[in-house]
Amino acid sequence: MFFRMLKQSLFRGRRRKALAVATIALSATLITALMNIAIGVGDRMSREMKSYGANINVVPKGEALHLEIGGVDYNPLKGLVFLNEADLPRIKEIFWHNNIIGFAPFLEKSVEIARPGKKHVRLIGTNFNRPAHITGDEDFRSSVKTVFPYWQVKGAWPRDEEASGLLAGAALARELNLKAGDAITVKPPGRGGLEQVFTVTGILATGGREEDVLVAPLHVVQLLAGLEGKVKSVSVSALTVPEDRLSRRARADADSLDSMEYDRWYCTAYVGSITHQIEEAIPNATARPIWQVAAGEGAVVNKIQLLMAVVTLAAFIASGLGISSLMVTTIMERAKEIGLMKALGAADWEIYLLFLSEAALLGAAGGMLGCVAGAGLSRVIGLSIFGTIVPISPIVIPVNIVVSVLIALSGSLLPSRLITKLYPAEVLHGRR
Amino acid sequence: MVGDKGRAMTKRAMFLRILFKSLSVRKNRVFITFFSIMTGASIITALSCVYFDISAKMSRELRAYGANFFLGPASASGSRTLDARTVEEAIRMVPSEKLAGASPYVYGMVRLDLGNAVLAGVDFRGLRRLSPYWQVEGKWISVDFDDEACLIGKSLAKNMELKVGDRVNVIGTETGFQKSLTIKGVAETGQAEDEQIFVNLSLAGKFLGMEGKVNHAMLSIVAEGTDIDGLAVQMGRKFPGLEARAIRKISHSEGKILEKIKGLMAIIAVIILVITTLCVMTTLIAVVSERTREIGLMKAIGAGDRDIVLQFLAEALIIGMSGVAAGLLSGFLLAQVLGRAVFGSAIAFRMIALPMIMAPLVAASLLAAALPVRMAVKIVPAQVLKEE
Amino acid sequence: MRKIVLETKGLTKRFGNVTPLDQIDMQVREGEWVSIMGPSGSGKTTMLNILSCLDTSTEGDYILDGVNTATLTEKARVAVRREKIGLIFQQFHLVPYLTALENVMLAQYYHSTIDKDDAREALALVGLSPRTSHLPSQLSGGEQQRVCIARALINEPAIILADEPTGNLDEANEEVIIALFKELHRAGRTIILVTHNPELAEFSDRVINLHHGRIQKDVQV
Repeated sequence: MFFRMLKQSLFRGRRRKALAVATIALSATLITALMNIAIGVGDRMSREMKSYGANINVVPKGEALHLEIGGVDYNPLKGLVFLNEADLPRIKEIFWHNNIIGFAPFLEKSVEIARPGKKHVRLIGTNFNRPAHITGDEDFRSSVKTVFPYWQVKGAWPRDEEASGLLAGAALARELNLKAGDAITVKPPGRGGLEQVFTVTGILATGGREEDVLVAPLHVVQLLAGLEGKVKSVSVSALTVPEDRLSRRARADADSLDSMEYDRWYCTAYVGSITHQIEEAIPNATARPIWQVAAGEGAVVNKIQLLMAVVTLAAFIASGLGISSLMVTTIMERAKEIGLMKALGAADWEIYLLFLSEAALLGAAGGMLGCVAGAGLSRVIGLSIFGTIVPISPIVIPVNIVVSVLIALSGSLLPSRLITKLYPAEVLHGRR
Repeated sequence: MVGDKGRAMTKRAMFLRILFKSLSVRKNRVFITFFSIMTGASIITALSCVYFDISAKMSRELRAYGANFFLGPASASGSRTLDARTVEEAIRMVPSEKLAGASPYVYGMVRLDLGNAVLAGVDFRGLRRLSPYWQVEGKWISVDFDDEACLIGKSLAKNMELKVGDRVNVIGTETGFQKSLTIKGVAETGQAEDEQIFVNLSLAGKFLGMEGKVNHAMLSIVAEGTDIDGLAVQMGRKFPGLEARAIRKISHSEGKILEKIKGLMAIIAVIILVITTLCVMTTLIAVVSERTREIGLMKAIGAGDRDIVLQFLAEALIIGMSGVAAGLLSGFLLAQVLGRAVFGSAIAFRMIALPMIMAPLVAASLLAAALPVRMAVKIVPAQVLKEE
Repeated sequence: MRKIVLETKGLTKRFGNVTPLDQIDMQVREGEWVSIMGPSGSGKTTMLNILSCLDTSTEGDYILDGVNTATLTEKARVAVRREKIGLIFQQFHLVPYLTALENVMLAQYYHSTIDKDDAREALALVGLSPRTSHLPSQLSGGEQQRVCIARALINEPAIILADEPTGNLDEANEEVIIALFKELHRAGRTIILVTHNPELAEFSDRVINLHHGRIQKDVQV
């Protein structure tokens, strides 16, 4: 009998109820989309922040002091220790391998430009877009473009497989009047030495020291320096979480953590624990956070996360209140109906049950519609704003339905109570 | 009717009386609707205020990344140094509220007890604001005239077996100038600074024989609302031996992230607007449905469509406009709370925000009222009055 | 001869296959009290709706106080309702949040100028002077109906149309209302009453019986 009444009750005032469901659905859509985005895009946001560059520098352990000021090298004896290029894929084998977005190796050599003009410059070797042969991640490439996205090339990037192309830094190019397509002759510094001709495939603009150098594929520089298979440093770009008390303690002294804390630290993507893991993976290496990037990221990401959290909360509250008020109105207008039911002998709890069930059903219906629409909305927002497909997190569905039902119920509770308490006669005759 | 003031009542007075009584009799409903509008308007206002100010705020936050502007000797001049005073003047060309931090740098070789090292002379106060990301164990040097103290990079400290509080003997390799300094702090950056030792500019000048000269300067300038490239050109023109440029690494991405956040906030505000409008419309429709007999009666005794529209529109707009007004106010306050919680500073109010917020809110109110008022007008008296 | 205030010629109403009113011809003179009677389904309500300009006929003319309503726009019909007709319903519809006085003033408001004293007078006429500031919920059924009558009179209408004015009242109140109507009749008002209560019809000058949408008889009382 109850269900028959419920069904009848639901079908009355269909248009009004449809509007109520639509509004709940809309609110649920918003919440679903926001939750999907918060969960799926948090990663993406961090990747956006990566445009500031690598946040980890890996160098050989015991590297001698680097004494270079303004292009002049004060300690030519430095640089006798190297890393093995073959060890690099191990970076993607650490616990946090999924957070490693990219890496690029570097090897430097001083050279002399013979033509055009005469000048001592540094020649830097790196990978532009080389497959890294990581088991389980065939698409991963060792690429300076991933690690330093702000490098801008006018012209074309050199190809790793070839040995004839290189980039000229913008300041250098201005000085020597070089442009893309020009030939440049390079030889080892000092007297004699084999001359090699390269083509400048593009001009590199970074706003930094790279504008004074030449950049070539890694193997070219290795050959020139007689250091095949060796690299001087690796820049790594990793997704990290901001520093907190635990990470700072670990940095000061990793041994001061007890085993539980150590586990927690190890299993959190602090930049410190990732550098620690890289050191574990690559023999004879020291991995250091580049704080300009790591700390900066931390500061900014924190703010953004906080802002998003607050905005989401605000959205929740706004829609919650709106819908509650809608429920209140929908119930208050059925006062006569309630009075009639009481006059016919319905008990208070029976009336509650009826109206609250109805509200719950409306909430559930709206919630489910909202999940579907919300999935669509997150897709639209993801593509248009973040340029990525936002994955639908399954947990969002039950959470959303529950929240919608709760909001619908909370709005219905008070007015149901108020009206049920009235005497039927009052309600039927409009006296209040 | 001259002299009959007491008897005649203006139509407007009657209209207001009807309006007042009509709203008073359903105070609860009116209040709920008002509150719902106020909340929606409040949150939309708060989001909008943040939206219009967030570029400036984030720009400041992004200064955490350090220097984004470089001043150096023009490559054409062939010189590797600049006059310190010239650099100071160039730095002063940046509007003070946009300069987050700045420091000139002078470099040279010195000898420490256990080996050679690169000495860097800096403006410590400016440096701290310029590079807030330095991880310093111990303390920063807070005053610029402290000639007894130095900061030392982490790798250098390790190699020279030095720690915070130690004294280190520093000798300029070219000048022979010698001084014993206390290490106030050990700094870690993960970059070249880790291998340098830092003293204030004048002391460095003495060590290196470069009084009054610097190698270059780094600045951190708030990007929002500043023409950084224009500044670079201006400086280059005013000081021909100077090359000024923006550091691409930092300025490249500032705009992109901001646009995404703003886009998200805008969408959220729009959706909340739609939700609130729907809720209010539904409520108003319910109210009209309740009063069909009242409306039918009014029409039967001679109310024209215009009278009905006037009354119901006025009722809706009174609630709507007061809700919007209250929402604007509380929304602005809410924005301040938000600003403090997230950015630690107050949200600046941009005049452009006011019309941009009010226009949609007012339009939404009208929209929400439109359907219910239309319903009221379409009521056929004969139908609603004849029931038993 | 008193002038003809209300005239219908061939008044017909059709809804698809149904014809609730069929070729009604009638004339009412100034000061007459006409009762329209008939069983349910006879077309009384339809007739009343058309006479009160709440509805239009499909065919035929309805001339009220010299105006042929069949040719009027909706807006003009509303004007006719305002100026020439005083309506009294079985359900004594009053605006629930306005006092008795304000309910009467409402009719003035839609019409032309508002005059509190005139409104007070109208209420006095129906014997409600002590009740002017009461809300409808504070008035008995009979009192509410009396407010309706006052409201119907306030704009000096050409005719008074009443639909079962005592249908919802108890005997005592019914008597009060009947007395009022008699009073109005004595004062020279043109009254058209729809009722199925023959006792009420007795006091009128004329009784028109409707049956299946047609006038069955039209007799003087």
